[in-house]
Amino acid sequence: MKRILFILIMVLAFGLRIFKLGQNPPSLYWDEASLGYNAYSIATSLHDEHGEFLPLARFIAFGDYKPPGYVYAIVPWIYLFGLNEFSVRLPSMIAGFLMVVITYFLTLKLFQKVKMALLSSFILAISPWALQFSRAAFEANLAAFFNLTAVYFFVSSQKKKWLILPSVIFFIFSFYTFNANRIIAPLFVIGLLFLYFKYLSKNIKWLLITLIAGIILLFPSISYLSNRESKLRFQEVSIFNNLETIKLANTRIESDNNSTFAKILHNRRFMYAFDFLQHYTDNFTGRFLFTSGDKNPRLSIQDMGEFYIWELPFLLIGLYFLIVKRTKATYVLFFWMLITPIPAATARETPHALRILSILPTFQIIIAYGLYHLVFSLKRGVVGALYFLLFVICFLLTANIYYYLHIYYIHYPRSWSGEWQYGYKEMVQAISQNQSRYDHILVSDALGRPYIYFAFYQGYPYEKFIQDKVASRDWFGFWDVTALGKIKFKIDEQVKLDGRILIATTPNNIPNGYIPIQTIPNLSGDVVFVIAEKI
Amino acid sequence: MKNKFIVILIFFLAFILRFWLLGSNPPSLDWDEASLGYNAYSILKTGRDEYGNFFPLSIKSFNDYKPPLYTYLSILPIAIFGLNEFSTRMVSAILGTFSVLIGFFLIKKIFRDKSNLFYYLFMFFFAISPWHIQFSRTAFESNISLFFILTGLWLFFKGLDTGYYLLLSFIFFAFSIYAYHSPRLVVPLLIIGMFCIYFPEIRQKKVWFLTGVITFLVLVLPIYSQLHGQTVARLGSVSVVNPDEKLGASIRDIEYDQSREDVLGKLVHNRRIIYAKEILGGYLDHFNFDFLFLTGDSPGRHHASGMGMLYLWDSLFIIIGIILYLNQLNRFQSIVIWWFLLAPAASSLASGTPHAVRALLMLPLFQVFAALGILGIFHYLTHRMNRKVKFSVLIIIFSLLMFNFYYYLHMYWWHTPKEFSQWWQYGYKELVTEVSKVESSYDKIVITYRYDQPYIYFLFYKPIDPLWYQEISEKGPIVRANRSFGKFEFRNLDWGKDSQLSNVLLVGTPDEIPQETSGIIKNIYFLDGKVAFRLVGR
Repeated sequence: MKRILFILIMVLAFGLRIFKLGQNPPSLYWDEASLGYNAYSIATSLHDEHGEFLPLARFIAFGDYKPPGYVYAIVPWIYLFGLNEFSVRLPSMIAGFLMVVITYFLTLKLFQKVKMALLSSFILAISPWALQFSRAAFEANLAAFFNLTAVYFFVSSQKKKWLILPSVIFFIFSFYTFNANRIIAPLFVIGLLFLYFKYLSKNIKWLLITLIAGIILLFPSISYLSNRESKLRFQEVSIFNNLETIKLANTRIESDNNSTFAKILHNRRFMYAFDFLQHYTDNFTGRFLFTSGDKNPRLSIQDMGEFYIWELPFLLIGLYFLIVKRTKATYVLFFWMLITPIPAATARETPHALRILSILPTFQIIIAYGLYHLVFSLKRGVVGALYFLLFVICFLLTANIYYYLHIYYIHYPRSWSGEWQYGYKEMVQAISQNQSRYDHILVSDALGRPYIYFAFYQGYPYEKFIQDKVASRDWFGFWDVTALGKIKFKIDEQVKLDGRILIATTPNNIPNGYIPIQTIPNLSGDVVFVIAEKI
Repeated sequence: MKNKFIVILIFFLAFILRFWLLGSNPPSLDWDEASLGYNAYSILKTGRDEYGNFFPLSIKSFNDYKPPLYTYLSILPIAIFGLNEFSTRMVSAILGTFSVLIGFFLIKKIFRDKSNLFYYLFMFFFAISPWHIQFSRTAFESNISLFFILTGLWLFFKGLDTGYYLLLSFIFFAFSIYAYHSPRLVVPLLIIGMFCIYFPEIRQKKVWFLTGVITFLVLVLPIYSQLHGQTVARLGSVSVVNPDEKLGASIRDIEYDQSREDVLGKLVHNRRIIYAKEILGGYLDHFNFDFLFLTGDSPGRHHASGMGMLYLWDSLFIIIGIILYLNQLNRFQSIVIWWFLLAPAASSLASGTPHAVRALLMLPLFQVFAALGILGIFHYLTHRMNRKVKFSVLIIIFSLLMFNFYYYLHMYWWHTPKEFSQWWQYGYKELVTEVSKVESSYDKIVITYRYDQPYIYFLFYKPIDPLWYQEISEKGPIVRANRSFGKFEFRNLDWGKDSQLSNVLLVGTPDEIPQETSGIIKNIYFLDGKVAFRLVGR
């Protein structure tokens, strides 16, 4: 029976993640396209789009310095399925599915109860939060999988001592896969060393081997992490360079006549600590978790929270029992939940479902714990009440899942296709068909980074790409590709061209003398691109 | 003897914190306070409110129909001390101070088996609560409703022993409904909860309980029979249940589902589901960490600058306290959960969540939990640690509290008036004084509506004879942003036209009147040094 349930849950998890994988979300966001093209470039030439040979510390990409993990994870699928949406999203999908599997085994290890393990893997399998990130190419999701696997191996290493080695290796994988995990992984390792100190002191041999392996694996990233490039991205979003805070501190100190005591009381460091705490706790607000979700439409479907509403009482019950019946699991889960939002809390946009994704599946385990306690403690009490309760839960659960799936599959792509940069693929395909008939092709960059879609959907060969690309770097370190062969992305600078010209631009921006030949709408029906020609 | 002394000491502390310079900090009356004060003055002089309604059941005020109790209670202080800031805020300060004492009695009734230390800790925390001090120092109706509910609850528990207190209890509950909007939803639900929880005790006192309930129903009938008109009007103005872009999106989604012949679409995108989600979101907002401990809610009138509704210090002990409370939960104390979960209910129906005023009923439960948490730590230290560790830990905890308390007082008394004076509509009092000095030399005085409801400050501070004013206000419908009486005209300035007028005194904001205009008589400043009003003579 339990085996059948396990298989059913896994089939459900797999199905929910792979169904229409390349089609919903409706199109590739530019980060996905960039990951995909770099993987393609690696797969075909062992070089990335900037001509670097097998980068290990980071990919330059748009100048945003993507961690390498996800790119390499795509490479095998490019060989198998070619360069398309499906292969780009597959690593995230597989990671999402394996998280459900490992959650089962982790819960089993932590609580020694099969029913608990089934419940928590089921709740993760249907979690809107997990599904959202498993169905598009999100580095964070792959990193969350590595993180979870690492924790699982660590917890298991109490029985099999050598498992400490793969645990740390997986932490390092997560380190190489998503920026937030560059902070989470070291904190996690330090924390686990404390939590399991007693047992680790009897495992010196494997600890040493792991330490050496760890240092070797971290070696490629050291020079990168200590230079300016790695800090740029952090500073861009950081709360710690907010001048308003300093101004406020100074005004208050001045108003207290610049006394030493005032300088302590209104110290800007206190204020930054306050800010940090505020952004940190933002990630635990009820509205974010249960009713509205992340504000970014790519990161949540907007009509519901990161969890189903029916899970709220069970989360509270689970937390309560977890605290009251303190076991090792309590400490591991709490520690996990408390450190994961730390990197996200240093940035301005909180709450942030993506940056704290490695918190999965702690919430789901706790919800399962709440559900488990309620159902199985009531079992000893009144059976009638139990069945009634089960019925209510199942009804709410079904209704809520239907609600989610209905919105995700029917309305989400229609309402938010613009956020997924829908239209680029159709535009590139339209142009590719007729490219040879024109002398010049002009494409607007008003929607951002059009070149990556040409590279992606035309499967631009690496050598030709390096040759054809005209690019410059701005002050922030971002690369701006202005031309790709005869395709030019700066329309304003090209108005005086002669010959047969094809132009693709946003509506109402067609220069004089061009005849529109095609419009490309997104799924909400708004026109994204107009293609026009001058002969 | 010693016990009484401690209670008196804490009560005295609560009194000082609430009455010290009551009229001058917060730095000025906000428009609701001014309106409460003037309507009380008007009723005192004429028996009618500013619109000439004879002993009204709700005060029309700015068309927001304020519950009447605060106004009626303010009549006496205004008769004694005259119409000023102190007398307007006094009712709130007195009942706020007594809330601390009543809270102490109430907690003794609910938590019967605790040590005296717990009661004192609770009372002390309640006395120094920034949230409670904030609203006890201003004429906010919510604060007096808290007093009536606390008293009602206390009398209810006394009534479980001695029946006739039940009747008194329900009278106080009825008062609370006349005091503020939130209790209209919360108090009936609270009573239902109490009925379920204390059913075995109530059965012994059937007669008194029924008498109480009937009295309650009779007393509150007038309020609930009005609900369809005025209160609904108010709900509509602040409610989440308002058509907005969210509903528009859901209608488009329904239409799309209909085009696909999906019948269930109507259920999924039903507007009731959208409201329910908004309400739940608003409800959960009241448990946000930053609301409670870091920044408070958005209006600057509701907390000191740089402070949440509670001390940051409290956060840890409240969590410990809640866990300990749940751990030793019994039937008698379970009213606390019901109360705690119910308190933000009325607030979550309206927009602008979290809302410290509408959810004021969450007090003093946070203080109960904090006291339980500290008590738990105290017991832990007593049983598990030696004396040295125990005392050093307690000293650290206590000094952190004192530091936080000092920080609060410093912010409240020194920085908040400066930073938030604009929130308190600061400047109107000075404006009325200045205008009164020169008004005789102009035919007309035009005063800007930019900071809203300027007229009430002229009524309040001059003060204008209510009898004379009622004749004007009774005449016809009053349009917001376009009022006038006597020489005064209250509307937004149109500088192009208005600067051409002659023999007129113009009062405008810096946006409306350019800095280099000739003939500026005076600038009136907010406390942070920005210009609030410019006075220009033509």
